[in-house]
Amino acid sequence: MKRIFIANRGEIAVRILRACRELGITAVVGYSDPDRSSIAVRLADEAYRIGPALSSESYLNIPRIIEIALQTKCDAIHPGYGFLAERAEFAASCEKAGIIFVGPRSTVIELMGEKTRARQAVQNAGTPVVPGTLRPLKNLAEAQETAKSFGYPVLIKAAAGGGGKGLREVQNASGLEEAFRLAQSEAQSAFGDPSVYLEKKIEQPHHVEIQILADHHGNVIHLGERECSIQRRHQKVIEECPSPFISADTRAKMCDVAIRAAREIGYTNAGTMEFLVDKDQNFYFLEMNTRLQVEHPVTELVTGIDIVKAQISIASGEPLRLKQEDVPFNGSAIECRIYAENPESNFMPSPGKITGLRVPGGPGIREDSGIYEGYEVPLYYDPLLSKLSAWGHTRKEAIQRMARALEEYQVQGIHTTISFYHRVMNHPQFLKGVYTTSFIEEYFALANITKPHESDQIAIIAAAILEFEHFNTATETKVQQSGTPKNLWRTVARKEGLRQ
Amino acid sequence: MKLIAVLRKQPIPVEVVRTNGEYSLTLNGKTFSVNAVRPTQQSLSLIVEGKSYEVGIEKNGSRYSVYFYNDTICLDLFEARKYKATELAKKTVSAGPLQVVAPMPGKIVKITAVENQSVAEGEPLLIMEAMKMQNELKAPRAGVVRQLHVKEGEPVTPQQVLMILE
Repeated sequence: MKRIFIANRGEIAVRILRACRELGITAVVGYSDPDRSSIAVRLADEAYRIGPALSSESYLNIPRIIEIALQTKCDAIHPGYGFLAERAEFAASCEKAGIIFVGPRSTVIELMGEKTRARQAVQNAGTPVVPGTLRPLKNLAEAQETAKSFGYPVLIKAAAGGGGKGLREVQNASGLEEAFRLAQSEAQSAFGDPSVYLEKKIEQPHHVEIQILADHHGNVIHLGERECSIQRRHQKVIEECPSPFISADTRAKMCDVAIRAAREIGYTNAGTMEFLVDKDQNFYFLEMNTRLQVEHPVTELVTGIDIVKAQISIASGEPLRLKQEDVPFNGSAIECRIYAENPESNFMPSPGKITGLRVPGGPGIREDSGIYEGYEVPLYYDPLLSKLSAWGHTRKEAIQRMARALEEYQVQGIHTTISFYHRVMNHPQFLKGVYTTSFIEEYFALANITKPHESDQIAIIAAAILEFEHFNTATETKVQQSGTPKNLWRTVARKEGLRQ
Repeated sequence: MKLIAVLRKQPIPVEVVRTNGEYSLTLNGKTFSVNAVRPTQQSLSLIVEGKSYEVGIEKNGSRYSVYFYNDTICLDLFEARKYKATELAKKTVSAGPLQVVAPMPGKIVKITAVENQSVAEGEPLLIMEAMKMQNELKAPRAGVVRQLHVKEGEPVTPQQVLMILE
């Protein structure tokens, strides 16, 4: 493999680009208009415009992406995550055009993408699934009957979906009709398919997933699990490896089940089996992500395996380099997804210009970022700015490093979730390692998220000093009739010994 | 120099004196001696009685945004002698109609309020979409919706006036 087309943006485009660089592969980045000044394009070997800002005309435009990849003589396309990563149609278009799709075959993506068929397929391999309907519900009557047989609460989910869209929780029989209707309409608008199915709600669940790698020679290995229970709006925000919750016995069973299921469906490349684990360590298959996961760095930190390079090597047809027993598991790692959102305003998106940036570093810290000082966070795409990961010999050390790095991390001009994560790192329940998917609602209810402002005094001191200097400079300038506003601070700095 | 800091609507008098490059600040009846340097255009390093702080800081007119790793604090600073006049002018404004503006760039998905509707503080007015997420915009205070300046499906820029609350 000599040239890879990266059909994505943001931090993940940079991540893939780095793997290409290390392997001596030419990284070709496709970009939309607002991403012209992104880091991925700035670091790329070659970059080509796909189209305007709107995803449907750029990062989701299959014919255009295939056309550019062919014109630029790329051997392969890496889809990253999101956008076209799990579109079977895209993988099929690559296969048809004779371009390697870095991921599983299109038929496998299709199978795992239809949640009800996927459940059936993995069940055939002996994977436990959450009690639920194995096919889309025909009508409300069927939904009512099924819900009654499982017992409430139940979840209604979009058959074509994921990412929390088209998902409704129903506490009792009286709420079913409305939820059924709303889920259908959400599923229709989000995925163009109103099919929904029903699942028993696992109470107080942990979200634990198994990372697997499968080559084209029948070898399948696992890289352990990730605990992803800290979520807001059904989306993960903090992940860790290993899970502080599951027992060694549960881990062994889950990994075994994941490998058997991957073999059963003929899976190739990197993939993730997501499970819900209840308080008694019973686990149930949730879905399979047939792509690179956002949170892959925690697994990389613990195993030392570069998952993106493994993906490229598998896609080139090479056999896996490691046997299961050779996979090392060292220490503990945590990732925080830094979003452009205001945690004190119900995680409202906060696009805009990053006017100041101080990036953390030091022992055990890894930052996968798509931002820089002066970068304008576009409002067209996902608000993920960067991923901060910390590794430690123990979970405690990883948490200490993460907390310390979050204190160093400063993003100015927009709101971010950094301060919120710092509070999580200090939360007794998180430190104990006992938390479920309702952690944020349970311990950080909206009222609670607004914290006391301990730094008021320092803020006033800082601002007053700046105002004082600003005022003096302005007055002096007026008298001298010289200096431009831009240089005011420089002048002051020289006069007052304030160094820039 | 005498200043008034306005923080969460509370006016706080501050006095700043500089001698030999060191600052002396008096606020809330306490005097602090402060050493300050500006390592970058956007930051300020302070040593306040031995304790070291680094803050990100930005000025936009009278408005200062001060960034800490765990907080962002916005305040306004006025010269004490000019503050009274400003405050008077403000009071007149706040009694009049209030412009409801877009807090961020995005698209208007749905307008739930109708013209001449009485709304309570915190009541949803419209739904905006930005970065693939929908957010409710709530009434900043009770009032009557007088003019709607936007339509559903319309893109808006930050600070664009969406409606008038009276």
